[in-house]
Amino acid sequence: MTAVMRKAPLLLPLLGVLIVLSVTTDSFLTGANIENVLVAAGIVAVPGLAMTFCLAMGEFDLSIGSTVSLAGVVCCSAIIAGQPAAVAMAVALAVGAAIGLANGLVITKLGVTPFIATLATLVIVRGLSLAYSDGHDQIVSSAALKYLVGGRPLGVPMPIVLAVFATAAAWWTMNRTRFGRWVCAVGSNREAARVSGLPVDRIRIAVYVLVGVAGGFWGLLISSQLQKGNGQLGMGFELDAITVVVIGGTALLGGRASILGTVLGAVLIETIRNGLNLLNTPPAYQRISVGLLLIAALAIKGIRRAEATTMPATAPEVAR
Amino acid sequence: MKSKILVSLAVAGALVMAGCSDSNAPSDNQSGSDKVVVGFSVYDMQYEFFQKMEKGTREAATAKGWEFKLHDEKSDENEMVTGAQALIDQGVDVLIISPFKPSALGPIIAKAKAKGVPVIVDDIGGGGAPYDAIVISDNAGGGKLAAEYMAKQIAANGKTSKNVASITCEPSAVYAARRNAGFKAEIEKQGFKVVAELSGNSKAEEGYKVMKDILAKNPDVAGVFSCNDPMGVAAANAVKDAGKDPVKDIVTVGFNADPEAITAIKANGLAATVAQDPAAMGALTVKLADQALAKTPLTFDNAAEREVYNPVQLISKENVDTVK
Amino acid sequence: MKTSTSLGSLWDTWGITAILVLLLAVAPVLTPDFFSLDNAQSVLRESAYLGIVAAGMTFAIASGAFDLSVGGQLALCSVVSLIGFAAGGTALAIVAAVATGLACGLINASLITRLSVPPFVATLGTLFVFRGVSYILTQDGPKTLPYDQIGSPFVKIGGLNVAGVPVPFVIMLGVFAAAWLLLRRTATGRRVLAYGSSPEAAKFCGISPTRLRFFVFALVGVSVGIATLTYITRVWTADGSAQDGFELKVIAAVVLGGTSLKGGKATLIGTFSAVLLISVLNDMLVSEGVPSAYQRIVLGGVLIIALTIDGLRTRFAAPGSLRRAVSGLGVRTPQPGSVR
Repeated sequence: MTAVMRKAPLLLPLLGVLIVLSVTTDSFLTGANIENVLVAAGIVAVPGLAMTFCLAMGEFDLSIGSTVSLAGVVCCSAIIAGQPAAVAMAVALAVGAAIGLANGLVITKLGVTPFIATLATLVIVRGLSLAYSDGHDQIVSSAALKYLVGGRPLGVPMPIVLAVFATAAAWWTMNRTRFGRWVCAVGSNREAARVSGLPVDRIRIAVYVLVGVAGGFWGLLISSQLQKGNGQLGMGFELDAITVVVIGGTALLGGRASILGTVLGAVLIETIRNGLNLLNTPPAYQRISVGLLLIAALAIKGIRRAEATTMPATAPEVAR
Repeated sequence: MKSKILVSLAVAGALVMAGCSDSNAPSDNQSGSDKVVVGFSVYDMQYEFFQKMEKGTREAATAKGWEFKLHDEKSDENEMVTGAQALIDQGVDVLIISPFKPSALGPIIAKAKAKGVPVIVDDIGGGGAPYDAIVISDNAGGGKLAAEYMAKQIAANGKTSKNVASITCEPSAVYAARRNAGFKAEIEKQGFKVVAELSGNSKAEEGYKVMKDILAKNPDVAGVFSCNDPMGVAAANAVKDAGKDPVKDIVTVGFNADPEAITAIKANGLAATVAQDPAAMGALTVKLADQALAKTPLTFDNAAEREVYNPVQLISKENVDTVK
Repeated sequence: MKTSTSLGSLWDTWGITAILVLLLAVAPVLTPDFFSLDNAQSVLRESAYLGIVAAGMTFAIASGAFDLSVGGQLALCSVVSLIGFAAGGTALAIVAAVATGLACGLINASLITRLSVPPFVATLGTLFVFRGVSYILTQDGPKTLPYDQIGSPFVKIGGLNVAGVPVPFVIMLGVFAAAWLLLRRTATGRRVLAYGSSPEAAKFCGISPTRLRFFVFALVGVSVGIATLTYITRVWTADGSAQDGFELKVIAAVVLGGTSLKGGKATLIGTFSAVLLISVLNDMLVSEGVPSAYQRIVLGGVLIIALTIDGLRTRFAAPGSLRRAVSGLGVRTPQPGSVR
């Protein structure tokens, strides 16, 4: 039991929340609602998984929200221009990859620290998205795009299917491939990794490209739901992505990563959001709850960690 | 040595006293030209609604032979105050402002009054400040129209459920909240119950999510009103994704008549929206500005608050083709 | 503690100032009205609240952490200050602002030290909580200074000019002067830098992490409280949504100024210049009528350029760096001891 708890510290709080919600509302445990929660969790889990790699390196990408917007705009404008949906989606993902590549290059070749580099990208890409769409909604009516979110292969909603695949791929990459070990090595101690001969710059760039593509994919999912792209979508999404990873237990210092934790983090966050809506909680209180959750999750971790070691968690919290 | 310090301090003190001035007081900037210069400070040009408003204001101003100066508040109250005050410093003859944060109008009007610049507010709200006039869409009335339409349409759909939902804008949009308040008052009068009133924070993504939650909790909901069209259309999409029809099963109504709403209504993807006419409102503010400059007394629809109403209109499938 | 005056370390402190001076030289060419009294006063007045918080944040970053909650703190301090004004006039408003800031800082510090929550997450969480509390306090609408209070001393803080210099900017100068003294002339300042360089080594020297963190986060909180006075007296209103995204602007200003995110190094002169740089640039873009989409692109680009220069500078600071930089543009070979 303790082994499970250590591996998946979120299970207990998640169960707790589930029980509370089942008792306080009669609509939580319905099939439709559970499906809603899992679909929402699946949608945020995919970029969350990519962000897990980034945090495992001890870095983070603040620009993913803007990537969501630009990818959505590009995809929808392409469809409006008459391109087949598959082409439009591929282009959007390519745009995401390009943004990731730009982030990676600026960070590794120009030596700009990730916080500022991705902050700058956040601002620039948002500007690009607004400029490209000229401030107008790009409205589409595309069944193919819709399938990303509305499709039900074998009766299971597509986002859940996508999330399951993504989780499996992420878990495999992180835990069973060289690349996963490299990412954690870079996160533990970048200089040591470099000295041991690892292609540190290429690893970092690869991770940023991964996050960029995931951001593009997130943009496709949102555009699929809303059947439009515009320059305002995705604001604040980077916080969502980072939150699910952090809650899931991946240390901000890098070096360790919990894929399962990220997925459970996504489920926990969406469950709580859903629960608050079902309970008709006023918006002001909803905002507080996310903050308190974050603090609580890490306070618990901190207390346990403090008991385990005597060193305080004090090393610089940012990318070295 | 000591006396030198004292003298310097005294001189400095005198300079300070002489130099004390108030930024809220008039500075000596006069625009020398005879052309009337109108400054227009707008909430945020990245939204369709304000793009239309800006166009209407600009066209009306240039038609009068006025010079037009635009300032974009970019959804930031700090930028709003700084930029609007800058327009006044640059010597505009009249200021038209669509405020991101109506409660921040105070400092702007203080400066304008000190320079004798009339201030006309365009929509959003007046914040209780002493503007010269405010052109306002009848938000509460719009909510009422939505409720009347919804009640009628629910009956036409043959639904017996008396449950409806209301999606609000972000908590700080206190004037937009009048739409939901007006909706709630009228729909309850018509015998319905608002079983869920949740905030979508004015964002499309959240409107979608919130609607899904509403559907899960109240599968029999017969109608939903959204405070703006991004959320309204998103809610309609959620309804469609749940296998229901946003006109015939769950009457979805938005607010604003954004292009996406018009497109959706034409495609039976949204039941109705409430149209404001931002371009006409812009033109109306120019007309009022002209009167204020000529010192003609202004006529108000609500003299106590110096409000001039611009009528709103319900847009549904029947009249959607009349929309520009 | 005298540092060697190599080109690199001069750039460390004065680099951004140099860029600022360059920009100021170019400004009147691009925007003729730039140095008009009104415009200059406006730029100075506007930079105050960003600058004052950035001064506090410099200490935080120098100690190796950053405080993401400052936007929420600003909202909360503003709301409480206005409540205080309604209850007790100017004096209470001022006290309320600073006290709330201090309280927020102490809450942050407690979470980080007592509950061992990493600063990034703790302040991310309190960002939501502080904003949420501000929303709860303003559920009936934003708190506003009533228009008839225009003559009150509180409003004058924001609007008055002293010898032509706006009062908010004077306050900012005062804060930076005090901060500079604190950083360079007191033991506490040295301890902050030492701790930021190496928390482990600092502990061995007897620097208590708990007390240091309390100091740093309380300082940030107090700086937000003071900044509130320059902000709220200009805008006259606040609710939970005040200054969304403020924290990123502040941190960007500090890092742009040359203070390293790694900790251990700080330059208040750099922070000061960076804040002015951002304000000047913003003013120029707005005056030029550049559409907001392109404004974003320009500002983001400036951030990258400035930090690229900073990154390149680091590479040139170490001996043999020129050779390494040239070879580094091609194939990268592992170099023990290279700074990055």
